Amino acid sequence: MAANKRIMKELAEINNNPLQGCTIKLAKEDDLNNWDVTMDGPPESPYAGGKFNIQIVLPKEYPFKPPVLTFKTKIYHPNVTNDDKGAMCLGMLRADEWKPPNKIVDVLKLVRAVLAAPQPDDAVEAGIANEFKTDRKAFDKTAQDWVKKYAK
Amino acid sequence: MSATSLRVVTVDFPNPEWVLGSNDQFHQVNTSISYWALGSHTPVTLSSHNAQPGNDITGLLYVPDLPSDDACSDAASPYVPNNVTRRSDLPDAGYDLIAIAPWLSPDCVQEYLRSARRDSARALISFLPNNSTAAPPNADDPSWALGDGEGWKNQNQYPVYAISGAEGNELMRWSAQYSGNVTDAPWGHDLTESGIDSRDYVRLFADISTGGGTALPSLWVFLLVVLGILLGIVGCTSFSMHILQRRRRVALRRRIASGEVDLEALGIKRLTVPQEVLDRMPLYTYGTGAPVPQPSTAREASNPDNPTTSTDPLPSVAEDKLSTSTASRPSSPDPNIRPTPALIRNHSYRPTPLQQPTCAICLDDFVPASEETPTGTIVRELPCHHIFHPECVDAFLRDSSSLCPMCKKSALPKGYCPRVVTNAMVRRERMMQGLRPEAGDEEDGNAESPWRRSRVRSWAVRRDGAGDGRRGVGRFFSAPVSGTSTTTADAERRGTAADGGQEMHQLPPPTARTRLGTSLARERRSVTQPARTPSHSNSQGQSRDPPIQPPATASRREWARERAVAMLGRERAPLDPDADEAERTSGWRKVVRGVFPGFGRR
Repeated sequence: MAANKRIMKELAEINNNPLQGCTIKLAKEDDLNNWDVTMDGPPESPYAGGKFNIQIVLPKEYPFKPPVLTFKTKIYHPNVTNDDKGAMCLGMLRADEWKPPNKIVDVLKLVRAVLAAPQPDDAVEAGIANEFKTDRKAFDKTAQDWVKKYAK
Repeated sequence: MSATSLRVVTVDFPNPEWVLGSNDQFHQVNTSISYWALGSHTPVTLSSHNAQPGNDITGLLYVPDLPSDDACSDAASPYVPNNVTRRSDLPDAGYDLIAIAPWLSPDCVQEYLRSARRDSARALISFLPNNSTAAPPNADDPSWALGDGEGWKNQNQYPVYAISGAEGNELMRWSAQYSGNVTDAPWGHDLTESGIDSRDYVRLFADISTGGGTALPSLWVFLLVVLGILLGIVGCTSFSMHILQRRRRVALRRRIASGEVDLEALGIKRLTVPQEVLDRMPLYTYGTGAPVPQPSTAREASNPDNPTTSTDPLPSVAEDKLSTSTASRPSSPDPNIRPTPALIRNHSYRPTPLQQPTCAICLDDFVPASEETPTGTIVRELPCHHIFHPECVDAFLRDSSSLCPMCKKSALPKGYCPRVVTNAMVRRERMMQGLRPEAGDEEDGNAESPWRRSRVRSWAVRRDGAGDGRRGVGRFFSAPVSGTSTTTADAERRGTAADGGQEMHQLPPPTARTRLGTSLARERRSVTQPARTPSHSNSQGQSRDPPIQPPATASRREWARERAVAMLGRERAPLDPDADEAERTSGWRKVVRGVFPGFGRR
């Protein structure tokens, strides 16, 4: 199982050299394809101080298909769907842009980057994106409120 | 043909002796002041000679004359009133006539038939003289036999029908009423009042309808005919479309074979690489960086007759860090693999360990062949020169996609054509063709469509790689770092990779090349997906941000991987178009497409 080998390798790598502000563990110990990530909101972003629970599901075809990323913690962000799923589909996470040499660490880096700088032009929540573009203050405030409410 | 109904009405027509030149001005007399009747039974067809289906038999009703001294005259007298309409009561002008006569003895019937033949009657209506209101017996009933077999049926040029005795008698009675002048006819006064010339003829007129052979009501016949015509049209159209589509499939197959159409890159068809094609792809031992002696170990094994290889001073050997695998190699997963001729490979760009130290799929390092490990990792090289572990990439190519996981270029040999070219593929290809000119129009004069452009670019890059010799490598693998010195240092840090280091030295500053590559990619992307461009380049930028410094620490592999990611083609990886289409096409649309292939674009 090349895929399992690779996933174990990535897991070992990330445990030996953890990404700043991220704690990673398997959701279930015997299931390599289900990762549980807790990510701190990047400082100097409205999400600072929040702890976001992110679930990463690696498809069977990984690394040929991108991992599926969902926010378990509610977050007010133009690129994360504002529903139970909390799905995020952006950049390298798209099926047609994914490349096998991309790693989960890269995905997490991307997530951090997107948390720090939302991509309103690539939004899944048009309303939030619009607010982000036109009324940045209100956006920041709502995002901070949500952090206090859900991500503590 | 058998009759389906009999209708008798009263008609008025002018006396041709008085009204010249207009002798067929038949008018049906208003039914409120004249006789009319619709037979209560379907007439029995005794002989259908000369009756045409669908053509009503019509004519003035009359009783054929019998020879005056004939015994039949007497026999018929109880059923034929004296003043019944005779031939002499009708004008001589050639009107259609229908005879009516009682079915008496065979001789008398023959007399009537003969008489009607003489008068050129169009049909003869007969009835058994029993005054029964029941339907007349069937045609094969013995009461209709004339003792000459069926001979009489063919003698007559007209059909013969039978009605019930009661109806026959009634017709006879009314015929007698309408045989004289208008004023003598029933409601004679009303008739003249209603504007009928008293010199006109007012007579009975019979209309025998004959249906089709299946005796279907005519509306159904009409509908069936219309349906049949429609089906015929549909069938013809479908047939010609199938022929046309077949021709298109052949043409598409030809164009695929000639390399003009790349099915998977255009998103027309998701292809996989069959095992036999996979087997023909070169497998190499991942070489060491050492210039002369190391690669020769493998090469000598493969070419024992050519010992000059090891001492060949040509730089190609020095830089040939990949050596062909051989059939004798014990670790080779497939002992039947034929190495690609070295000649061909010498003309193409070959990656070196420096560029691809890691299998992008499992992220394991390739182990070069060296003195300690004489058998290095076996690697599979795709036509795009990306190398992977065969166990990593083979299953993917065989089961999932024919595109290189790294650069999304097809791994199939040029001109490879799938066994089956479907109508759906033809349709998608035509759709692409339709899109291409449109895309071209939006750009400036000589601009090409994205597809065309990508092909041109990949060609240019490939050619660059080939023409530039081994240095073309740099075009592919430029590092996202700033400054030549770091690159050099990094290369040298790689220890034994001496000639790799040389190569790096020769390269122009990598930043420039990186920018070139990125801008190319960006440009292409802006053509294909203009709306998404900014955010994408952003997110990409951030995912690589900050620029990876040349590995100061151990992560040489990481650095190479990052470089690979940064440089990968931006081609969209097509999802499976067949599955996608099957999901999005409604059922009736599939049926229409089955009947009319090539109908509708999407």
